[in-house]
Amino acid sequence: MDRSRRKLLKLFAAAGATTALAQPAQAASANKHFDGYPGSYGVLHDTTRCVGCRSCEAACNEVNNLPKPDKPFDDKSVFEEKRRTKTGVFTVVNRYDGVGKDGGPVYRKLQCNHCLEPACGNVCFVHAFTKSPEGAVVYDPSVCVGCRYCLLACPWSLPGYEYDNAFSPVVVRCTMCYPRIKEGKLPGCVEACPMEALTFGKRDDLIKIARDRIEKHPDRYIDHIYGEKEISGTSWLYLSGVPFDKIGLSTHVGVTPPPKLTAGALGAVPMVVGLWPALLTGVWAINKRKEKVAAQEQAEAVKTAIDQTTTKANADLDDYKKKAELQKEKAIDQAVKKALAEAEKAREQAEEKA
Amino acid sequence: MESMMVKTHRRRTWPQAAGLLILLLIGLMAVDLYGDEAPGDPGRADLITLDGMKLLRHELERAPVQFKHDTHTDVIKADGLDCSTCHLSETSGRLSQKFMRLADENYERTMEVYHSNCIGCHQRRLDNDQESGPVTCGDCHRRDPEYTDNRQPMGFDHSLHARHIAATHNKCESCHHEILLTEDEENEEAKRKPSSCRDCHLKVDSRDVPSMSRSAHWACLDCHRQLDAAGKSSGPSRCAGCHDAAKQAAWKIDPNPPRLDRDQPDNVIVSSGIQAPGAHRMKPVRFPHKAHEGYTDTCRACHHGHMQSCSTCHTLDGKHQGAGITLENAFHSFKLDGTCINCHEGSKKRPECAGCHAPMAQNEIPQSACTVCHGGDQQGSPTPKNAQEAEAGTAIAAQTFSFSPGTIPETVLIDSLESKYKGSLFPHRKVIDALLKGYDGKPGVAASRLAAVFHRTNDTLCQGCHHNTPVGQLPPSCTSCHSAPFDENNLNRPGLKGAYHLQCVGCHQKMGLDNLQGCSDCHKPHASKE
Repeated sequence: MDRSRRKLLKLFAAAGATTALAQPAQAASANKHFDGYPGSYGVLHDTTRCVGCRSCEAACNEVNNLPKPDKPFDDKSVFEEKRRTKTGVFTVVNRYDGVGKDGGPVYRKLQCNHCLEPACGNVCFVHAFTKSPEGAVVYDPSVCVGCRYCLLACPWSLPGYEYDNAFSPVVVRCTMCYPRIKEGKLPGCVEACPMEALTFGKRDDLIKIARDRIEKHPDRYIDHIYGEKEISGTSWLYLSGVPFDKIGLSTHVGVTPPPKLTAGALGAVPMVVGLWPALLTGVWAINKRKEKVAAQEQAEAVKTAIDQTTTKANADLDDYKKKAELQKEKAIDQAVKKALAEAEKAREQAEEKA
Repeated sequence: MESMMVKTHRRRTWPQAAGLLILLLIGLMAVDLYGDEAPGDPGRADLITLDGMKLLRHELERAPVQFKHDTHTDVIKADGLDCSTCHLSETSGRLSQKFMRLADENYERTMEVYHSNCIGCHQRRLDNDQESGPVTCGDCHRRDPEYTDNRQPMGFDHSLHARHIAATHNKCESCHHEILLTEDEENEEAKRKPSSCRDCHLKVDSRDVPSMSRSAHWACLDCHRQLDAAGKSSGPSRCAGCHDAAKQAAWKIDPNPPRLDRDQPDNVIVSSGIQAPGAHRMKPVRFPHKAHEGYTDTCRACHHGHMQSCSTCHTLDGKHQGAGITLENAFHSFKLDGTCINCHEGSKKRPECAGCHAPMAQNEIPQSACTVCHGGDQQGSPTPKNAQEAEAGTAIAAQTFSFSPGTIPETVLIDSLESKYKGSLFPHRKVIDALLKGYDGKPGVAASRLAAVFHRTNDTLCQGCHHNTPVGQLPPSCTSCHSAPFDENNLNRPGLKGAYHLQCVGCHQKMGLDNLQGCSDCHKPHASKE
């Protein structure tokens, strides 16, 4: 029992060493930095311009043929709560009261940020998400198995899921109007925005524009482009006049691309899956052979021992037999001698009597 | 839980109930005692953090004590005692600003002064059943500070100064003691031109001169206390009286205080003061000094306490006395407080200005604006002082504007984008009138001298909306430049729809007009859609 446990630990140690040896190669490959596809598109959301008219929501609803909402798009009462994207709603505008520079509200649109290295795509084991060269993170519902890892992986919890669809639920999220972009049109929300609070263009150009606005209006903007570096970059970028965490954009998402966070652990998976079985099988085979050889040797030793014992026993038996025969012969001889002697004596006595 | 206990230990119910009642009473008493200093205290103006012993090169052994000066002043006053209860007299007769000592000998001695006197007094009051302060270590040396310090800086403005002139019956020497010290021929000059306190009293003590803070507390408080003692009306003698924001806001402010006369010119010719033959420089600026005295609350807003001309310290090359800030930067830097340009730029944030100016790039001055100040109506070299004053009688001329009927459209129908909504009828004349004559009690361009000086022509005013239109040209239609949005070749230029909405909505927002709440405030919905 003890011996087998030690063996097992040794095996694990061996396997660990193998994985560890593979690490430098892993790190070297992770050193590459993906800055997004060159010339890919994005949208710059300048929250200092947004007036909360919800035209973007209406346009999104229209171009995506989504169901009509309970409250019409010109109903401002929806701002009383912080809404989220969900089934049938790819984008919402939320109002953050009293955070503005003049104490007024600030509006911020919410939709998929179309990360350069999307976490949703990273966790999806059926590769339902693809970062397209145009910038949109495209979702293929035909391969989706409904694990909803993507919902958990998203740093902003942006994808929704059709929980009300019993038979073929899919993940629902902004497509960045990928089909419209392919046709050379603007995303629905961007086209509808009367204030150009949404600017569509190449991501690289948008960053320059954002920098230019910050430079020209240092009092209007926080000196930061949200999405330029956040989780290594998103195709949607944000400008704000107030700290981003005041308008619901987490400042704790970091700048590390999500794949890098899991690459170490997940990179070891092929190693474990591919190498461990071979290694364990080999070890098992060696052990098996050892056991077989040992069994053979043991059998041979036993046979030899048995043979030797048998031979010795037989020899002893023969000796005994011989001795017994000799004793028997001696006894017979003695008995014969004795009988002869007694016969002689009786004959002499008879002779004397006679 | 309690009912269970009552059930299981029925016999102990009575003592428990009594104990609870006593605890409750103690709790209530505590709340009553400390009710006025409950958490959520917005902060105090009289906090003194007793950490001066750090200067004795010792780390403090415990958290520094937050001392509430006004609370102690009030208690001492109520007991019929005075400041000398805690402050010893110096040889000069002034009270030391230190607590129960004239100087810090060493760490142990100072600590002993605090411990024996503070705890001693608190203990005596406790023994006499009087309201008292802490006597145990942790109640004074709190690791988590109990209060926040919201002491506001204090200084005279023109209005406060005028009140003190009146109160001292024009006796400048009551405060400006340098007048008394000068006995030679400079005396006359000093009497005519008393300097600012901050000229000599710096932020920290210098060898012979106490810091501004220390000397102000001596000078102001001594005077106020003497007046108090004489039963005359006087200024504050509690910390909060001068340093509390609410108290400051309640001061009587004279919006038009009499001009402080210290022989200063009405107009100043500002130049580098260097007459190098052949050197070509910007033309000197005729600066209306008298007018600017009214635009600022204090002289030190520009002069930092030294009543000298700017070029004394700020030279073309910059020098040590001017913190290396060159003459050019002293007037034109956006990064420095108190420069001409920064103050003017700040004015653009007023609602009546921001409608046009907010969309324009901040901290950028068009070259055409240079000549507004460097106008060239003076010749290159500065004139001698007397001649300068004679010459500088008139300041830069303000402009007048006229938009007579027929020269501008009264209304403009903006309908080129009609789709979901009908076009909008833009009240062109009304908007110009608002800019020119003011709105909602706010002054228009014509009423603001700064605006009237910098808006040189009618066209300058038009450029608020018709930006990029060259002066003297009829503004082209917006569609000349604005068309489809997000042209890759000019991504930052708004499309036509964006241009209209950014311009109109942006202006209404910045001008503080809340009459735009929804689309239908400008547009009627299209009949076909209804």
